[in-house]
Amino acid sequence: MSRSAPGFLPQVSFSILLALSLRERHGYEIMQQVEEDSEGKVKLGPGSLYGAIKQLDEDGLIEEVASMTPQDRRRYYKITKAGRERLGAEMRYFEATVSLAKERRILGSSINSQWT
Amino acid sequence: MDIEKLSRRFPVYSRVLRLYPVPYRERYTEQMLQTTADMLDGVPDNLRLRLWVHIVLELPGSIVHQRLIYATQALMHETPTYVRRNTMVSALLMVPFCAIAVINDMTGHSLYQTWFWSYSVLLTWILLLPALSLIISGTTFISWLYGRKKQGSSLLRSIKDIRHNWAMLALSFLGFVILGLVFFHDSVRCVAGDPVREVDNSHQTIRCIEDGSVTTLGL
Repeated sequence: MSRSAPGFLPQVSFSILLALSLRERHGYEIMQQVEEDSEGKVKLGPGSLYGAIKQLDEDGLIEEVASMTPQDRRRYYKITKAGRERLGAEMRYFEATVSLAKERRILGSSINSQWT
Repeated sequence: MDIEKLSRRFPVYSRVLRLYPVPYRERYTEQMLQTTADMLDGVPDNLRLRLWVHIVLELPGSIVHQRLIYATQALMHETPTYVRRNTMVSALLMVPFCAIAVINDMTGHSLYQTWFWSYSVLLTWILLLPALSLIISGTTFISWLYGRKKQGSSLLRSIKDIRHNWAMLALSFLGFVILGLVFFHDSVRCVAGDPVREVDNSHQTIRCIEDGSVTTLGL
């Protein structure tokens, strides 16, 4: 099933939720965390970042919070309860998929024993 | 850093961001500028050009995406019910032509050599349905203009209100293009490789369809 199919978050939105699961962050911090979490495979720019943030905000999965200090004009975002539940649901699906992949020897050490 | 300072730092970029729809712009422009500033401040000088390329390359897709969302929301929530309904019907009437045109293109067939070859069916999908679609979208657009005029909006202003009339205009335009293609474009005449080779105008094209000579083509 496609990552953007109904019931599944698009890749960028999923990565942003994952980045916000630890703590609230502003835009650039989200980008950095996404890049770190994906080991450099997902690199966001402001266009894709804020497009996804807008959608997540409208869906009630994240929300804007006040800046840490009055001087800081950056907007911070945090994951909502609904967002955490959604992320958890996706993670459970992935966990089940990974288990299945291991069972079928697509993933894990078994792949080496099968092909070497 | 406030938005004026950020706009002064990135004058061209901040102008490009004005292409986003107004609500998006009001909410996210400052944040996008701030994030861009943070990104550029966070990399060495020699990587800034590469970063700019990355930022600029993803902008067109993002702007078009937000514009589409904005326009769709306007169509679904800010236009009268008859406009939505007629637009939907008009769009559905275009589907056979567009679908068969795509299939023809993929299979290397011309318009009049389609695999979907039957005189009555051909007449329906290349002429009747697009013409009906054009009539519906065109009359809906005129009715909508009239309704707006009654509400005090000038004609020019209503025509320029692309956000609300884009679907009607796009469907009318598509209808004109299809009918123009069918009637006037030399490359789609019905006689490519057919006995009636000299057809080069609309009357002859219609005659070609009427006498059914094209149905013998390649079959």
